[in-house]
Amino acid sequence: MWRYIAKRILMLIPVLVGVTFLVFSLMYITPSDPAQLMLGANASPAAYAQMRADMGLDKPFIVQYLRFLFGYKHPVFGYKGLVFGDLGRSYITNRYVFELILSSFPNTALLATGALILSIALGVPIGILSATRPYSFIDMVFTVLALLGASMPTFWVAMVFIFFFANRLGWLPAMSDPANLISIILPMVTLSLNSMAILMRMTRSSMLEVMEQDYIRTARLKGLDEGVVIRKHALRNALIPIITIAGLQFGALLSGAVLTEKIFAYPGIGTIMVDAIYLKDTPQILGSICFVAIMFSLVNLAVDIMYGLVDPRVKETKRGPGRK
Amino acid sequence: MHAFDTSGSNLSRSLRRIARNFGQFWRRFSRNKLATASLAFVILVALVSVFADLFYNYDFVTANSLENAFLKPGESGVVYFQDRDVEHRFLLGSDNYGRDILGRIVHGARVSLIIGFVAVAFALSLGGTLGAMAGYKGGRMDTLIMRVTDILLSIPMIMLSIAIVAALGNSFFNLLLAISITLAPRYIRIVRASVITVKDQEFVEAARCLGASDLRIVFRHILINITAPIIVQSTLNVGTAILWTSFLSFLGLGIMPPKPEWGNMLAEAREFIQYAPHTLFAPGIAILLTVLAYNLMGDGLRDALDPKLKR
Amino acid sequence: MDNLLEIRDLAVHYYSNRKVVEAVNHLSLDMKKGTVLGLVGETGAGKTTLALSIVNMIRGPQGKIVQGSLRFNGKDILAMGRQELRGLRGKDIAMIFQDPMTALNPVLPVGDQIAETVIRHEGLTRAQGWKKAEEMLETVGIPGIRSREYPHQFSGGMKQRVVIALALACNPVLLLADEPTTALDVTIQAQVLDLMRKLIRENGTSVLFITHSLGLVAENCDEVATMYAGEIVEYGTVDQVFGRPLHPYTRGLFGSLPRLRDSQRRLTPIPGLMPDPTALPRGCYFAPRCPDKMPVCGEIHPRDHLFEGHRVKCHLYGGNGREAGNER
Repeated sequence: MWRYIAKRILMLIPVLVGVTFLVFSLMYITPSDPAQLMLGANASPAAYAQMRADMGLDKPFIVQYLRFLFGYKHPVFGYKGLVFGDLGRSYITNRYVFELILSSFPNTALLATGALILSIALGVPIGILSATRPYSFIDMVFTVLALLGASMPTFWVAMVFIFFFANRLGWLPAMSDPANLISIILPMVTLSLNSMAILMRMTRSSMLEVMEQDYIRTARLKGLDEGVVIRKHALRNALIPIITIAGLQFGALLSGAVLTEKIFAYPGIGTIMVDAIYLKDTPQILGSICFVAIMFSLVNLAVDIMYGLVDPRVKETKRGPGRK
Repeated sequence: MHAFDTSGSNLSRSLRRIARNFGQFWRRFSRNKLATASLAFVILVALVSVFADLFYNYDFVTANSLENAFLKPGESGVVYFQDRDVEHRFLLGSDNYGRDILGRIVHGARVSLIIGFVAVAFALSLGGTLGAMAGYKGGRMDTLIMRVTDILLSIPMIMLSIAIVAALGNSFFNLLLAISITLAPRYIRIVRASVITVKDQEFVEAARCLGASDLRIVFRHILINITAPIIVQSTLNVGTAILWTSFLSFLGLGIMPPKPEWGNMLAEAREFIQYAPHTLFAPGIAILLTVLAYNLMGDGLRDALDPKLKR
Repeated sequence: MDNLLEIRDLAVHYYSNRKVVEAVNHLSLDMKKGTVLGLVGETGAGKTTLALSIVNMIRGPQGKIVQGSLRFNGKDILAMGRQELRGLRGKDIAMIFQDPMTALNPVLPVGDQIAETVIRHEGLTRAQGWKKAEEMLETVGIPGIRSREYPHQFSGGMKQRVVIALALACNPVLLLADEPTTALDVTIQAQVLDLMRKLIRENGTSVLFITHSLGLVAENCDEVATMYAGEIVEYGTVDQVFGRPLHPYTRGLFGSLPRLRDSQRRLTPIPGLMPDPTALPRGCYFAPRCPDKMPVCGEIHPRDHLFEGHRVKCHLYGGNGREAGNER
C-alpha cells in the first residue's frame, strides 16, 4: 500500500511540472506587457528596456520559466520561485502574490468543504432512496430535479438566489463573508447544487447496478433483513465509486468556487483570480491558477488513495475494475 | 467477406442496413418521452437561431433606445429605428439600454449554438485524431499524448478555459479555441480507449491481412465502432460548451456587449436585479432549458444507441 | 406424508416489453426427505426460475408466480409473510449458485458472510458466529484463519467451497444446488462434488441438483426430472430413467452424449431450438423438434402418464400407459 502511495505521488510530479509549464506558457504569450503596465504608456524606450531587463522579461522563455519555478534574484522584482511558494509581489496591488493566495484559500476551502458536505448529505441518501424505489413517483421527481441541478448555470442561480433570498425576502445577506457564517449559506447552497445532482444520479445508478448483482441475491437467500441487505451488502459496494465521485467533486467545487465567489463578493481565491484577470496582473494570475491546479491534483490523488483503502481489491491490483 | 468491395449491390445493402439500424434506433429513442421532447426543443432552438433575422433585425436588437429602458414584459414603446419611429411591443420587456430582450435571446441563441457546435467539432477532430494516434500507434506517441492529456485534465476545466481566453485576449475565435482545447481531452480518452480495445480484435487483424493500409483500417473499422459513444459525448458537450460560453461572457471574457449573448445579458442584468428582475430571468432560463435539452437528449441517445452503455 | 417439498401446478411468468415470458408452466413435482433429485434440461428451460420460486425469490415487478402452490414440510411457502420467509431462507432452504465468482460480496471478508447467516438464524453472538464460520471453512477444507480474507483472494474452486460452507452453515433441510460446478475446471469439479456428496450424506440434506450434465446426475442423484420449456417432461428414479428413458427429449439428451463403448461416429444432437417462451406452441412444446411426432402432438398438450413406474408427459404413452393425471 505504501509503495502504491509513493508511486502515485512520484507520478504526480511530472504532471505538476507540466501544469506549471502550460500555465506559464499561456501567460507568456499573453498580449499584455507587464513592463508597460508598470511604466505607463508614455515611458521612454530606454526606461522601457531597463524595466524589461529588471523584470527579467528580456531573457529567453526557458530561462524565464526556470526562474518562475526556482526563483529570480533582483532587489525589487526578485522572488524565491513557485517551488518555494514565493512569486514576489503583484505589479498591480504590490502585495505578495502568495500572501494573498494563502490568506484567501482557507475561505475557498471552507466554502467548498461546506458545499461538499451539503451535497453528500443530501445527494447520497436521496440517491439511495431513489434506487430502492426505481421508477416510482418520488424517483421521477428527484430524477428531474437532479437533471435540472446538473444543467443550471451556477452563476445565474447565484443571482436568482440573491434576488429572492436577499433582495425580496431579506432573509440572507447578498454579500458573503467568511466571518459571518449565515452569509455563507447562499454561496454554499449555490455551489453545492451541481455536485448534489451528480452525486444523486451516481448513487442511484451505482445502487441499482449493485442491487442486480448475484451477491445481493445470495444475501437475500441467507434470510437477511432487507435493511441489512441494503446497508451492509449493497451500500458498501455502491459507495466505492461514489467515494471517487465525491472526491472528484471536491476538486470540481474548488474550481466551481471561481464561478460563485465573485457574484457573492466572497473573498476567496476565485475572486482573486478573476480580479487579477481583469487587472492583467500576470504574477497573481499565474500564482492562483497554479495553486488551484496543484490543490486539485492533490485532492484527486488523496481520493485515489482513499479508494484503495476502501476497496480491498485495489490493494493487490492497484486499480479496481469499477473505476470510471 | 467482401469488406472492401464497394460495388453497387453492396452499397445498397449497406444503405438498407443503415436505414434498418436507424429505424431500430428511432424506436428505442422515441420511447423516451423526455428525450424526444428535448430533441424537439433542440430543433426549435436551432430553427430560431438560423432564422433569427426573420424574427428580429440584428441592428434593432443591438441599438440603444434609452427612453425604452426597463420596460416590463408585454409593454410597448416607440423606437427610433432606421430613421423613423416604430411602435414596438417588447414581449419579454427591455433591458437597461432599452433593447428588446426576446430579440437578444433569439440572436444570442445563434451565437451559443455556433460556438457550441463549432467548439465541439474542433474538440472532436483534435481529440479524435490525437486519441486515435495514441491508441493505434502506442509506444512513445501514446505516452506523450497521454501525459499532455493528464496535464490538461489536472487543471479544473473551467479554469483552463478562463486561462486560455485571459492569455489570448477575448475574441470569438479565442473563445472557441479555449472551449475546444478544454473539451478535447474527453475525446482523446474515449477514442484512445476504444481504439485499444478494437485494435486487437480479429476483424481488424483480418483487414490487415487483406492488405488494407493502416489509415484505412483506422477509419473504416475502428471509427465506425466508436460512433455511438462519440455521438453521446458530443451531444452532452454541446450543452457544456453553451454553458461555458455564457459563463465566460458573463465574466467579460467572451462575447462582449452590445453583441447579444446570454451570458453577457446576465452580466448587464446583474447590476439591476432589484429594479428589473425580468432582465435576469429570461436569459438564464434560455441557458437552462437549452443545456437541459442537450443533456436529456444525450442521455436518451446513450440509452438508444447502446443499451450496454447505460448510466 | 413423507414429502419434503410439494410443488403443484406452478406457473411463473416474466414480463418484459409487453411480452410475457412463460418460464415455468403448470409444473408439479414432489421431493421426498433425504433424496437427491437431479433436474436436467437445456439452458433456458426454467431450472433456475424453479429453484428461485421454491424460496419465493422471484423478483417483482418483472417476475411473478402467477399460479400454483409450494408446500415445504406441509407449510405453504407462497402464503408466508416476509419475516417467516426470511426465517426459512438460509436456515431450512439454502442455495448454491452456478458462478462462485459473483455469488460472494467482494467487500466483506468471507468469514463475515458465513457468520452473519448463523448469527441471523441461530441467535449466536458475533464471536460465536465467527467461530462457527471458521469451523465451516475447515469442514470444506479451507484453513480457518483464512476467514478474514476477501473473496478475491480465493481461487474459483475455493470460492465455491466457501459458498458451500455458507449454504450448509445452518444445516439446511433442503439444498438447491444450481449448476454448482459448471463454472469450475473439470478437476476442481470432481473435488467440489466429492465434498458436497460427503457433507450431504453426513447431514441427511435433501438436494435439488440442477445441472445439464446427465453424467453428474448418474453419479450423484437418486431421482431425475427432465425439464423442457418450463415443464417436467419426465420424472423417475435414476435407474428407471437411465435404464429406459421414455420421453423423446430425454432420449435425445442421451443421444447427444458421447459414449466410449459404442462405435457410433458422431453424436446426434437434438435438431432445432427450444421454443420461444413468449410464444409457446399450442400442442406439445417439444413437438417441433420431436423425432416421434404424431398428428395429435401439434394439437393437444400432453398430460402426465405413469408408465413402468415413472412419469412422462408424452402422447406416445397415452394409449397403453395408465393415466396419471388424476393423481394430482
